[in-house]
Amino acid sequence: MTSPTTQPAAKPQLLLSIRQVVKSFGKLAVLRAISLHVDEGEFLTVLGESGSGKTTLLRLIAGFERADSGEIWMAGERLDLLPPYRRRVNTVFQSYALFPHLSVRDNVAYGLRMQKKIAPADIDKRVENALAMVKMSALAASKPAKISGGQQQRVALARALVNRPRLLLLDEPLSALDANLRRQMQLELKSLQREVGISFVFVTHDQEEAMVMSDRIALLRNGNLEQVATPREIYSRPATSYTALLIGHTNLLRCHVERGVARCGGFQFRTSVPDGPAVFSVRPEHIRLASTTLSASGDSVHFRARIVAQSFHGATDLLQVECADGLKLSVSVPSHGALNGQRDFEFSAADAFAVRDSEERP
Amino acid sequence: MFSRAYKTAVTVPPLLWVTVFLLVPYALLFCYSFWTVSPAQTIVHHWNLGNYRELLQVHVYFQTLLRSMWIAARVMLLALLLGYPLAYYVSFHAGARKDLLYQLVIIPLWVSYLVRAYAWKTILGSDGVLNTLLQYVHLTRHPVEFLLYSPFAVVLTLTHIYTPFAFLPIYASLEHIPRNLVEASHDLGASPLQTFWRVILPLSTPGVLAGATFAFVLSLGDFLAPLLLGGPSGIMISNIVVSLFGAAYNWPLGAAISLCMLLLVISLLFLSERLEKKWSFS
Repeated sequence: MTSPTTQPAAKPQLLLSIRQVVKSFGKLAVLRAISLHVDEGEFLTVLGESGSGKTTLLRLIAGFERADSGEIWMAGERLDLLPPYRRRVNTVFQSYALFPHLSVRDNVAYGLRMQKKIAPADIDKRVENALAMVKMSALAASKPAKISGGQQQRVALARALVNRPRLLLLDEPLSALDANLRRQMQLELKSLQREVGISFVFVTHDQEEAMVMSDRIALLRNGNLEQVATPREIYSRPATSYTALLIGHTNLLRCHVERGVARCGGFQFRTSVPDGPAVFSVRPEHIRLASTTLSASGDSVHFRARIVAQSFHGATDLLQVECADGLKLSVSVPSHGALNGQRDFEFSAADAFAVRDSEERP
Repeated sequence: MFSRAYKTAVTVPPLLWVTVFLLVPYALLFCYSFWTVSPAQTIVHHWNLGNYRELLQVHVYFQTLLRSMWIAARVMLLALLLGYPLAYYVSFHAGARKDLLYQLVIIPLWVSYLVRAYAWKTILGSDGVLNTLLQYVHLTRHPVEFLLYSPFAVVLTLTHIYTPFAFLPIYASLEHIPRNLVEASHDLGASPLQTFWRVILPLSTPGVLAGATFAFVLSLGDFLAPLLLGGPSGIMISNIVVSLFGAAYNWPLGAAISLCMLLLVISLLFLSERLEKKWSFS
C-alpha cells in the first residue's frame, strides 16, 4: 500500500529484476534467495548493517561476483550471464576508484572511449556536459589526488553517468564525506537522479540517508530482505521489530493480547491483533504530555512516568521516562524548557503498531 | 631530546661504514686512475690523464663496453618479457597458490650464483645435456659448438639469474594496484585487454622501470657469466677490469675503467629514479 502522493501517474516500467539470488562465500551464506525489482527511474536504497550482504548484492548486479543460483534480468535480457563490461550498468564505488594516472577529464571520458561508435568530438562534448553537471569543469585537468574527497565523489558520479547507463549502482558513495557535505550531497544526488531519470540502486548503512533519498527502501538483514517499502510506509508500518528499531527511534511494547485487549505492564488498549503475545511499536513523537483539557477518549492510553533524562534536539526534546513498573520509554515533545519529576503521558492506541518480533535487535 | 651518547651511538657506526667501505675505496680508485705504471711494473704516483686518453684511443675498451651494454640490454628485455607475465599471473590470477608461486620464483635466489652459472655450462657444453639430447633425437650428428662460449650463453645465463630481480619490483607494483580500479575499468566497459593497456600497465611502470634497471645494471657489471660461459667473443667490460687488476697488473687503467663504469651506472640509477617518481601515482 502506498500513499497517493508517491504514486506516479503512469504505471512504472520494470527495469531490473532479481530472482531468487543465492550467494555464499565458502560456508558463509551472504544472500539467501533474494528477489527484488527496480523500476525505470526509481531510486531504490538497499539498507543494511555491515555484513547484511548489501554490497554483495550490488556486486552481483555490477557483475563482479557470480551468484550461486538465481537470475538477474534487466530490460528483458539476462544480465547475470554477461561480463561486467557488457552490462549497461555503471557503478560509483565507495572509495570512488578514480584512475590515479588520468586527469579528471580522462577519467570521465574513459567509458566513452571504450565504445567504438562514438566520435571523438561527441566524446569531448559529453564529457564537458557531464563535468558541468557536477560542477567540476574548472578542475578538469587535475589529477584525482589533487582534488578533495567531495570533488572526487562528483567526478566518480560524472564518470558513471556520462555513459548513460540504464542503471546506476552506488556503493555507500557518501560515507567518506563529513556530515555537512554529506547532507548537501544527499540532496544534490537526489535532484540529479530526478534530472537524468536513470534508475539508482543506492547502498547504505545510514537509515536517515535512506529515508531522505529513496523512492523505496529494501531493508536487508543477514542476507534476507526484511522489508521493501517506501520510506513513509517502512517508517509508519514497519513489518518487524527490527525494522521499527532500525528506521528511526521507537519504543517496543511486548504485550499479551486477550479478547481484543493488549496488556503490557500498566498499559492496556484495544487492538485487532489476534490473541497471544504481540509486539507493538510506539514512536516517541506519538507519545505526548497529557493535557488536562483533553478528555480521555476511549482509544487514548494514559500513563504516569518519571522523567529520567532530557536531551535537546532543536524543535523537539527527547525525554527518557520510566514508568512505575520499570518500563523505560522514549518520548519526543515540542521543546519548552526543562521538564522533570512525575508527569502524565498519553498516546493513541491507533499509533501502537503491531510488528512481527524479530528477536534480535539492531 | 636524545642524549649525546645515544646520538653518537647511532651516528658513528653508519658513518664509519660509509667511510671505510665507500669513501676510502672510491677515493683510492679515483687517485689510481690518474697514476701510471712504470716499465719496471711499479705504480708511479705521477698525476696524468694518460689512462683516460688510452681508453679513448684503444678501441677494444669501448667495443667491449658496447658489447656489455648490448648483452645487458638483451638480458633486460628478456627478463622483462619473462618477468612481467609471471608477475601478472601470480598477482592477478594465481588465487590460493599465490604465495607458493611467489616462493618458487624466489627460491633460485637462495642458490649460489656460481652453481647456477655452472649448471648452464653443463647444459650447454659439447657433451652437455642439450647436445646429448640433440644427438639422441638425431637432430645433429656432432655436438653443436656455438651454444657454449658465446654471447648467447651469457645472455641466457644472465637472463636466468636476473629475471627474479625484474619479477620482484614488477610484482610489488602490481600488488599495489587497488583492485577496485580494475573493477571500475570493467564497469566502464573496458575488456580485460583494454584494462591491461589502459590501467594495469601504466600503473605498473614504476615497477617495470625498477626491474629493468636491476636487470640492466647487474648484467652490465657481471663478470662470472662471461668468464665461465662467454668465451673470447663473450668478454664483457668487467673481465677486462679483472685482468687489468690481475695478470696485466695495470691498476691505474683498471681504476679508470671502473670509474667510468661507476659514473655510467650512477647516472642510470639517477635517471631511473627520476622517471619512477614521475610515473608513480600513489
